[in-house]
Order: sequence, then structure tokens, then C-alpha cells
Amino acid sequence: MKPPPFAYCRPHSLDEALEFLAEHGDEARPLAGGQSLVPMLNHRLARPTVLVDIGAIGDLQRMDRNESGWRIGATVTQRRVERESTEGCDLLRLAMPFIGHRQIRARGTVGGSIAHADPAAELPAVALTLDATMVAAGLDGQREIPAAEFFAGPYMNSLEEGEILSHVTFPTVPPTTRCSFREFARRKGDFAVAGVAATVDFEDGSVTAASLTAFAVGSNPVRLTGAEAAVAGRHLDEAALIDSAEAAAAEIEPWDDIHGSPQYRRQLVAALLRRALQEVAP
Amino acid sequence: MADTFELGGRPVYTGAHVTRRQDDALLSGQGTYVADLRPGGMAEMAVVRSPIAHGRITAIRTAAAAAVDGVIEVITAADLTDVAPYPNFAAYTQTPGTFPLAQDKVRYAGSPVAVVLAENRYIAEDAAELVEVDYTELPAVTSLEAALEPDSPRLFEDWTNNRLLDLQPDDSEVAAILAGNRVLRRRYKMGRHTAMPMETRAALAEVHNGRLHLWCTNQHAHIARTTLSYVLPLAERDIRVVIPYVGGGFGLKQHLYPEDVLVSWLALRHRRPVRFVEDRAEHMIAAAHARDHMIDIEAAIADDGRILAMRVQVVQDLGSAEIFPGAWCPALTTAAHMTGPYDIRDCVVSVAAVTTNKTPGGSYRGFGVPEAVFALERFIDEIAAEVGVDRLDLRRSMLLQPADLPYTTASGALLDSGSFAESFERVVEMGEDAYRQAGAHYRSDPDSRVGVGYAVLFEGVSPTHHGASAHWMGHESCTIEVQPDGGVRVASGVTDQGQGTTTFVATLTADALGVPIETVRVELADSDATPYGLGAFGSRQAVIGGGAILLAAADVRGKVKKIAAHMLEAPEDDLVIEAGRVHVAGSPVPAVTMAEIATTAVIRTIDLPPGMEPGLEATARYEPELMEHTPDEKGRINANAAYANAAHAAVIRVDLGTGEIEILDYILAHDCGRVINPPIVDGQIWGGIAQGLGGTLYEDLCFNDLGQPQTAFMDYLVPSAVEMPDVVIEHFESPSPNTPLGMKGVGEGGTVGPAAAIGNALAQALAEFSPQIHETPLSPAVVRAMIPDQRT
Ligand SMILES: Cc1cc2nc3c(=O)[nH]c(=O)nc-3n(C[C@H](O)[C@H](O)[C@H](O)COP(=O)(O)OP(=O)(O)OC[C@H]3O[C@@H](n4cnc5c(N)ncnc54)[C@H](O)[C@@H]3O)c2cc1C
Repeated sequence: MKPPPFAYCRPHSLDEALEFLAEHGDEARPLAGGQSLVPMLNHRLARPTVLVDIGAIGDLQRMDRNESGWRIGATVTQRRVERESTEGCDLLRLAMPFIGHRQIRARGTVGGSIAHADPAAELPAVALTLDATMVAAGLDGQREIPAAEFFAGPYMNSLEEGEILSHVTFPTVPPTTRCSFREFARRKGDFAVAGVAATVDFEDGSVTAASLTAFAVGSNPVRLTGAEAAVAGRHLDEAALIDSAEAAAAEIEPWDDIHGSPQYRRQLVAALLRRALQEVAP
Repeated sequence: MADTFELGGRPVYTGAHVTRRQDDALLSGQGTYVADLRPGGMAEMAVVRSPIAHGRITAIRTAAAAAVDGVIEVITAADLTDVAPYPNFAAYTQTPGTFPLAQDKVRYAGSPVAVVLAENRYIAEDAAELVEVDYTELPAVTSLEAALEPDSPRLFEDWTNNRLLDLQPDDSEVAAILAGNRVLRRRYKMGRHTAMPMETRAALAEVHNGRLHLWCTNQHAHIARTTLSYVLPLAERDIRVVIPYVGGGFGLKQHLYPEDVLVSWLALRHRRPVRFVEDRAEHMIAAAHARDHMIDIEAAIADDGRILAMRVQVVQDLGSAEIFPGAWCPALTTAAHMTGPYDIRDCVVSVAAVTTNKTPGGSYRGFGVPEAVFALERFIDEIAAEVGVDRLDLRRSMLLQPADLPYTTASGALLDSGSFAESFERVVEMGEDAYRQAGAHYRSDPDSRVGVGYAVLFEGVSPTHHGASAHWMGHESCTIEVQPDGGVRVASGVTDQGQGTTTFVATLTADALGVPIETVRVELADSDATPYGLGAFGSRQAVIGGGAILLAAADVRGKVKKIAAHMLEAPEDDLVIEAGRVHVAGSPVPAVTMAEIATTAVIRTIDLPPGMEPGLEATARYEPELMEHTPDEKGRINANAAYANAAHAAVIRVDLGTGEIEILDYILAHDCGRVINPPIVDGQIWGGIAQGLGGTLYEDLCFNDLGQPQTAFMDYLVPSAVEMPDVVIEHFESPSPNTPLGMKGVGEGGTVGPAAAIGNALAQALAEFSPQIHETPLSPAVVRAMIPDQRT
């Protein structure tokens, strides 16, 4: 479990980082918190020959609120998001404690988790639920990628070679929006076996808008459009809960691993979604 | 016989809260492990391992690896011309002929095939990737059921089948009872686990003045030394084995692994220090796995559910069996525990240990007993349900009562003492109470069900080594030397993996000599410095090592009193030793100090009583008299020096939506006879329960149909502090009349019961769904599958 040889650089500006990446092409990889990349290096599952450490780039460490939401720099640590206020973005705050352990969150970054696109990761699910916007920086400038288009399969994102995810904007929601984040992991801090994120708006007790996402059940987090439709316009009574849970179980295509069969993951998503909706119901 | 073993006076430290000797060093990061040793000129080793489970090696190309800058040498089995295969002393098994590197064939994914020796581990791993091995793949045997099939592919072509061990005793007597009664049959299985110590395996070999010094993590300095002398072309006198700080052994480090031999061979060849520190990924596939048993029970039962007779078949999956000492002994231990602490006089057990294309099985805390307890205790609950009697009353009707003791079990175990019924009743009282509270708390929660389950058990402790090695027996040794300043050096063959062995050695020595514990220096785990002993296994060290200490101390104490009597001109029988001073009982002055006595004994020998030999030192060896090493003609054997007992209760909540089991209360009453150090005993129980819970709820080493391991470290779910429930521990003390001070071992009792207690609790919690609970692990997915889907 020793990495193969690699070169290491730690630029202080985004441009410099992008130049290093351009120079070394697919031999180079950005290094953020290292909580996924370093284990992959040690297991020799990733073999970049150049690591471009983006941890010293001030621009990527900013976290501020603007009119569209919380703009979180790629190298802001998960722990910082957990500790600082993200008013209007409760889902983000609720999800953070589920990411690994405190020690990991102290190093792991928001951008690293999203770029890494682990199917069982929490942050991609939050980004998808909130319709977050990813901002990719390249030598030619910046481009925006909606969350729904960013994740391109397990551990795959839609950044072009040489691009760096510079920040993510998580839209804020009005205080009346209710949200819930639930996951089932084997032990505290383990990756989810299945999870669900939900934001729901109500008017007079009826659902006016629902954004429901399942994660750890397929290549990337998925919006549960069937379950969303099942609750639309309804009171969250027993019948609505059952309909949405059944719709969710039916619409996902879970994988199989030693922690659970597809069938079990469908059962988990059904149970978690039901509980999430019970939690947000007025 | 127990009176031969006396402390000599009023105990000061025995039974008291003596803090562990290593705590300061460990808590301040000062413990020196093998991985902390870096002698100058040290080279490091990386092992090239087979990626396939079963195949023939057709070619190995090492030139590219050997050419890497910083690589010293690349070796394969063909280079080890002066190395002998590990011996097998067991005439009743087939022999795997284990060699440190694969010869011709690989039999599990992870088999060592070649070794790269390099200036450091980074270079060694880079070069290891360049070693090319060609294999002709063979069909893999990946389950014990498959291994039992008559036409199963064979791992060892010169064997007639895959059964390394196959004992089929005459079962005619039991068959006759079965024929005339109602018979119930069940099959139980326990999954594959591993001990997962915090410290992986490690070994560092150096050559000093022509002698091999091996620093390693093995649990036995002397057995390791002897085994090295069997395998390497070295005389035993030219080998020194030292075991520094060890971060947990749990049986996994009982084996002398190929890497221990390989670092030694390379150090001798290159005359420079060579180190191997196993990484966690290797540990998952190359360090011993354990459990993986299947148990079939057929029992004749009376109308009230009592078991009249049992016929049992135990099958253990050994993996490739390429390990030394061999790993079939847990199956024999399972067999010996199949009747539990119950009066079941007729029980016959057949035992098979089969080879499969998986990592070799080996020793692990519990060693066959958790399997037996899970099967029997689940079976009793199932009988109760089937017959319609109360499961607690059914146990009561069969449990051994104080008046039944001593009792010899059907397998020959001599239960000379114990608190089987008492500890059970205490746990039931507390368990039922906790269950009532849990029931009230969760009554209105439609997603929860609660249950309580019990397990009551005995556990052989301080066993003979013969069952595992067919070679070593069961003795332990101790040398005690009082030095001229009155300080004491005690050296013993026992070893310390972090469980506190050093502390009990100091405790018993101090009390047995009547000296302050601070004046006792303990030397363990150095084959040059200690008399030949067998080290750590089977919860033996306090009992048998303790016996050796007490015998050596009695010798020294006798001489101390003789010298003191001479110096004080007082009758020897009137003297007492207290706090390092000897005086007439009841009158503290005049007194002579240990320093004065030892100075007389060693330096000013002119002052000794006439004719007395100089020196104040004794070496003793102790082998428990009632411990048997080989079975009688009916297969019966009393393989242990003592038998501890325990009763477990688990109160659980099952989440019907996720299938997760939450442990609300865990209650354990245990009895290890005389307690030497209460916090260490509690610590052993806590740790044991953690490992028992791990195997029951979380840990599972899975393989696919090709024999590829599916469980990486991140999936091998060792319970953490968060997963550990609070545990209530109740102490019972039934001293054994046959062991020193009445001690029994305590290392394993916690590990043995959780699977049974939790399985039984789950059966109660989910009774409305009639769940089939016959296997562990009881993972959430497995539990959820027991619950019908009508509720989402
Ligand atoms: C024991 C353990 C448990 C964990 N549990 C969880 C968990 O439960 N849930 C969870 O979500 N995560 C978990 N993680 C992973 C953790 O959250 C990581 O921090 C995260 O996945 C990656 O973030 P990082 O900053 O460490 O990125 P790195 O490891 O440095 O990089 C990860 C990948 O993303 C790329 N990358 C990083 N930043 C950028 C960027 N700005 N632009 C483009 N590419 C980039 C890297 O090149 C690399 O390929 C766990 C990790 C460990 C070690």
C-alpha cells in the first residue's frame, strides 16, 4: 500500500494550477483533501504522475452567500460547512455529519467530494436535490454545469481534461421549505448502503413542490421523479407515503454488493423515504 | 493439589486494581513495535501474491523487477533450496506440505509467490508489480459444501479428497436412542471472520555474531524458534526470537507465517537486517481467517423438550490449510463443547475439516466455541418453540447444578467447578427486567420490535497445544532471581500482546515473594532470556504461567526463610515475609530485608547457613496434571486445565424498515474462578464481546465463485466505540480445585456468547414472522429478508 512515484506541486493561484494541468495532460490530477485520492494512490488504483495540490489557492477557499445561494469554494472543507452557518441551506448542514468521521471531514473538501462522484457520497446527492450549479474553471475561462448534468457515472464527472471545479453554488430555499436527510450505513461514518434527501414545499398541508433524491443505489444519485409525482398536490397521509415509497422502490435500479442486494436497497429506499416524508410533513 | 500453589502470605496485589505496566508507555506513544525498529542498513520486503484462487504456476519472470534501481534480489520458491516445508506432526490428518513460497501451485488469492527485497518498501512494491507470473487456472473450491462433494476439484493432488481431517466415531449408541424417540434436526453456520488486530503482522530479522535474531509479532517466542529451526538450515541455539510490543494477537499471531521465514532467510543470505511489515490490504488476504463452520445437529428429545441424545456433524472450512500450526483444531474444540453446560450424556460428534481455495483459516479468540454455543443455544430455543415449552425452563431442566459437579461431559471435559445455573438465573433476572422496560419504551413504535435472548455456556481454557500442533503439550515455565540489592527478576515463557500478561506476572511474583511490586522486573518473550515456554493461546497464561510462577516463587521463598532464620536466629516456621522484609510473625522488629538476604545468598556467601548453596534463584515448570493430550479409544479427552463459564443476555430492538439490530442492553455474568486483576478481567470481557458482536452483526469475509475475496478493509466492519453497547458485567467466582489459586482463563468468554444471545433475541423479536435464524452474520440485509414487505 505504497503509491507509485509521483511529482507534486502546490500552486498559489488557479491559473498556475490550470497551467500545470494543461502541461501534464491526463498524467496530472488535482489533489484536494486527499481523503479519496490518497487511498487510491496507495492501492495503486490511480496512478497520476503529477499531483497538483489545489489547497493553497485562496480563491477556492471562499464561502459566501450571494443572491442565488451559497457559493462554496471547491477546497472549503466539509467540516467548515458543518460548523459555519449555511442559512437557507439546511439540507447541506443536515448531510454533513454523515460524511465519514470528523477527522475525514476536517480534510475532505466539498469540491473533492463532488468531483470524485462516489455513488454513495452525500454531497452529490445534496447538490442534485438542491439543483446546485458546478462551476468549472479552465484555461479558456469558466463554465457552469447544472448538478443534473455533472455526474457522469460512478466516480465520473463531466469536467473536461484540465478543468478544475472551482466552486459550487447551492441555492437557498425559503424558510418554509422543509427538508430531511436520511441514510442507512452499517456503522457510524461508513459510506451509505442507501440514502435519501428531500426538500418539500407545502401549501395548506398539500405538497406544492418536492425534490426527492436517492443515493448509494446506482451509478450516481438519482432524482426520484416517480415518487415526486406521487406526492404532488397531496397531503402526506398514509396513502401518499405508501404510494411514494412504492414509486421510489420501483424507479431505482440499485446495485448489488456484500452489504445488500438490489431488493434490499429498494426496501431501504422505501423505508428511508417514508421516514423522510413523515419528518417533513406539516 | 491446589495447596501446592500458595501465595505465601496475605496477598497485597492479587485481586486488587493494579494498573497495567505498559499503560504509561502505550498512552504516551512510547511502545516500540516491530514497525518502529529501523536498524541501520535495513532492507524491506514486498511479497508478490497470487491474484487467482487456484492455478498452476507455469512461469515466473523476475528480471524486470530485479533490474529496478534499489532492488537487492527477487526470489521464488526455487531459490529456497535449503528450506524445508513446515512439518506436520499430526498422523490423523492429511498433510498440505506448506512451503514459504508457492511451489508449482497457488491455492488462494494472496498466496505468496515471490519476494522482492529492496532498499525500502516503496521500491519493493514498485518492483513487485513487474514480476510476471503465468498461471494455468484451475476450478476453485469456494465453499465447504463444495469441498465435501466427492467430485470436487482437489487442492492437493496427492490427497484422496479435500478432507484434511475426517473423524467419524462410532455412533451406534446414539443412533439407537435417536431411533426410539422424536428427533429434531437443524443445520447452523457461522461465517468467516478474522481477528483484525490494530497492529498487522511484522517481522525483522538481523544477523548478530552469526546468530539469527528475529523480532516478530508471534505469540510464542520458543515455538517460533523451534519451528524456524525445523524450516531453516539453522541450529536452534543460533536463533533468538524476541517479541517486542504487540498490538493485539487474538490467535491470529499464533502462526509462524511464511514472511517470518522469508525475512530470516533473506537476512542470513544478505547479512543485513530485513523487515516485513504487513499492510492492511495484505492482512485481509494473507493473515489467518477463522470460524467458517457448519454444524448439523440431530437430537432425540423428550416430551418436555429435554435433549436425550445428540448426533452432531461439524465441518470447518480451512481455506487452503497452508498455515503452521494447522488450523483444524477449532473444529475439534467445537465438538468438545457441543453439549454445553447441560446434562446431556449421549452425544457423538463427527468432525471434518476441509480445504477450499480461500485464505488459510487459523486461530481466533473463541477457537471453535462460539460456533458450538451458537448452534446449541439456538437449537434449544428452537426445541422450546417446536415443543411448546418455555425456553428458560427447558434450560433449567438440563443445566448442571452445583450438586452435579464435578461432571464429565460426553466429550470428556472435566467440569470441576462453575456457576452454570446461578449465573444463568442472575442474567435471566436482569435480562427479563431490561426486556420489560424495552418493551414498554417501544410499544407504540410500529417500526420496532424488541426481544431478549440468552446463552449459557462453558468454555475450555488453558488447553493442550497438542490438538493444534500434535507436538507441543501444555507446560509453562518461570525463572525467578532475587538480585543482591533485593530486586527481583522474573522471566517466563508467557507473552504479552497487550492483554496485561506482564502485569499479572509481576502481581503473582510480588505476592508470592512478599515484595513490593515495584521491585519486580518482568522479562518475557525473548527466547534467550526466558526458559522454554509455550506463550499465549487458549486463555492459558494466568493459569499455567501463574502455576509456574508460584512454584518458582515457593522455592525462592523457602530459601529466603532459611537464610532469614539463620540471620535472625529464629525458627523458620515462625517467619513471615511482608513488603520485602522477613520477621517473626506478629513482631516486625527485628527484621532482615530482601536485600540483606540476597546479598548474603549471592555475595557474602560466607554468612549463609552451613552447607547452603549460594544463589537465590529458581526455575520451575508447570504442566496441569489433569490436562490430557490425546483422546481415549472413544474419542474422549479432557483437553483443558480448566473450564470457565458465562451467561449472556442481549436485549435488542429490530428496525423493521432497515433490518438493523440495535443492542439495547447487554448483560453478562461470567466466572473465571479466582480473579487476579479485576480491571483486566473486565477489559478482556469487553474486548471479547466487541469481537463476538462483530462476528454476529458486522464482520463477514466473502468470496465470489472464483474464490476472489470480496471484503476489503473498508467492508470488514469491525465494531467501533459507537457500535459497542453498554455492557453490564456480573462476577461469579467458583475457584477450580485443580488449578493454581483456583484460576481459570478469561480471554475468550466474551467472544463466545453474543452470536447465540443475539440470534435468540432476534427469534423472539420477530416471532410473528417465524424467522429462520441459523446463520451468522445477522446483517441488516439478512434480517430485513426475514420481514415480509407489507409495510414500507
Ligand atoms: C474512512 C473514510 C470514510 C469516508 N466516508 C465518506 C462518506 O461517508 N461519505 C462521503 O461522501 N465521503 C466519504 N469519504 C471521502 C471523503 O468525503 C473525501 O473527502 C471526498 O470523497 C473527496 O474529497 P477530497 O477533498 O479528499 O478530494 P481528493 O481525495 O483530494 O480528490 C478526490 C478526487 O477528486 C479530484 N478533485 C478534487 N478536487 C477537485 C477539484 N476542485 N476539481 C477537479 N477535480 C478535483 C481529485 O483529482 C481526485 O480524483 C470518506 C473517506 C475516508 C478516508
